Amino acid sequence: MRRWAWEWRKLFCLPALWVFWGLSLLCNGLLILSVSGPDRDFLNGTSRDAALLGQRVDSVFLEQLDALPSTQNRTLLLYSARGMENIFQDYDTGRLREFYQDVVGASPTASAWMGRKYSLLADRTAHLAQTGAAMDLYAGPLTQKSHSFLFGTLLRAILAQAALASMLGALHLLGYEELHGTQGFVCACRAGRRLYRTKVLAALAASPLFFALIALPSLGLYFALFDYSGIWGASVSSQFNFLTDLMLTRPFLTWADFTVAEYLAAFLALGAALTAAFALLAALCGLLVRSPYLAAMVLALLCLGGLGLTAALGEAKCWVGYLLFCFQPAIVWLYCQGWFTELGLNGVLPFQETAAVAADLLLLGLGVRWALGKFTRKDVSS
Amino acid sequence: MLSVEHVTKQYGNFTALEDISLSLSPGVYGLLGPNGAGKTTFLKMLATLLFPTRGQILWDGEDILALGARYRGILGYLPQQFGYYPGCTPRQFLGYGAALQCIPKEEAAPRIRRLLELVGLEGQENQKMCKFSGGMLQRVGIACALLNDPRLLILDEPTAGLDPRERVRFRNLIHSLAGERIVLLSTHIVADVEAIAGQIILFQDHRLLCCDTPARICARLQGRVFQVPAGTPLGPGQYLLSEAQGEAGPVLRLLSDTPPAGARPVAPSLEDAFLSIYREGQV
Repeated sequence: MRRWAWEWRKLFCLPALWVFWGLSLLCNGLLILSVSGPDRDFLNGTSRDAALLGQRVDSVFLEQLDALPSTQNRTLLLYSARGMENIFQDYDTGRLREFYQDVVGASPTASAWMGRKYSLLADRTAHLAQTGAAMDLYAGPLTQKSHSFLFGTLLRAILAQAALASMLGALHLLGYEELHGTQGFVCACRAGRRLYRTKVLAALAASPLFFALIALPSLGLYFALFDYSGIWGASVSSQFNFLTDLMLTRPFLTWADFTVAEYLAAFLALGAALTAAFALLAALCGLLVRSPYLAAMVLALLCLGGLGLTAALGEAKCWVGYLLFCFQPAIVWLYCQGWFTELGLNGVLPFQETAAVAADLLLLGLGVRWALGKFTRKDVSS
Repeated sequence: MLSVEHVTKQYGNFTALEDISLSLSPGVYGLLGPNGAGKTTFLKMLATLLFPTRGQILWDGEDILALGARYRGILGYLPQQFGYYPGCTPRQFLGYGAALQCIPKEEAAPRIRRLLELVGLEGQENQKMCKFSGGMLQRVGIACALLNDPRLLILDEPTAGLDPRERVRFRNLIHSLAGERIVLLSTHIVADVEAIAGQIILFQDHRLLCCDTPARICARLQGRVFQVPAGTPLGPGQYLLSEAQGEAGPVLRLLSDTPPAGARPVAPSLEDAFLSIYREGQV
């Protein structure tokens, strides 16, 4: 336990970490403040009305909304709500299937995978039609914009910052003894090279903490400015919410029923796990590459190179390779706005992002275990 | 009892140490050799930092690599370049060392206090180490190496960079620590080991040359070391060992099988032996 405490002390006493944290919060604060005042007023007004009238839009809702004192925002909301219908009742996932099968047509395997995914999605559409999820107001006509900002911009930035902090933290811990010339001293002690296992575990445990340290103040500011009290219970599959992939727009079709609160909770949990996967990737590099600086370069190459390679595979129409490369952590981060949905061209499985993070954690965990075993028989020079 | 059995260390095609066999029992051993002779490689293998390419090292008959933590638990090691955390105080750093040595917290505190007194840092235990001189850092290093009261103490060039006063202080400290332990001290400052080592280990060309007492090593040169006034030309078969300041002015110490004209025979020192070995290639 004392060794754990020491490793965390090395990590959290690093001034650069707190500078990075401060800059991350500043960046997120500026992002949040960049949302226009009228949009904020509209969302807050809609949320207040939804808190009063409920989220489900029906004739009673419309009557009660109409009876409320008229404001410019309320008029717009009423206009939008009157046009709502249960879009999932006659929604055909066959269109999506045909579109994506056409895109990946060069690969029969990828085409079969896409076909299977959209067949499964048809059942979900039928279920959503039954629940009437599409008739939830969410944030009315501002839904897509606010949802996209929260999950596609702000939380994507938070994830990137937490992943960077976790990776740098893992590299810092694993390179600490090399940088201070204490590797010989620590490896000749009773704990010996086992200390590096403690380092990996400390870095892994710190990663969700980094995520929390960045996410909590950022989301705190966001929810202080944007009133979600009437929105939390809305379904994320409201008809006002949609996704666009390859210029094709489709409803926000999730693989399970999510309210906004549940979706945020699931997103944060998966985000913490993804951050841990990035920490494991950094730990693997730190264990296999002796110099911490070189390890950082290899890590950057793996993350950026992986993104580039995936794009290149898509350009080359190697769709099986492309779809398999979509399981890597950097790509999972990249398409975070569509987590728990069908993911368009980036996914072939229900809950692919969850499966990808689980697979990444498992494979990287095994890789780190192998690297730790290798390290126990590795010469230590300093 | 530490036994080194036919140990070889290779890095690719380069052989750093070849077929080293030694047995060490409690006492102070001085490890001498020029730069690159393989001293540090040898000590790092004893400290389990490097792994032999061939051969094995045994502690009380068991392979040290198989013993693992049990072996490291009786080992104290001061590396050639003692690394430290600049933001830590000696007390904190020793506390970290105690955690690495798996010493219970309640036992560690009094032990750290005693060690800080032993190395003369009791007044500076709460100062940050980034402000310490080389000598003070070495003292922290020796305290770290002694944390677990080791039965095998390995000190790799502990007096390098120290001023003469610090060096003498350090030598005295090491001498007082010997007792029932094996102390292995690597240096190329001959005076350091001459004063305290019971046995000298000499490496040459990456091989073990000898492991013997200083007296017996010096005895090999008995009758072959002479002193002549400076400026005396060297004849065939005569090798200059060193220059010194004699009572009547500068003098040369020579190695020769036959007494040079006008030379005065002198008692060979360990330094003469060292210079002789690494000049001639043999004693």
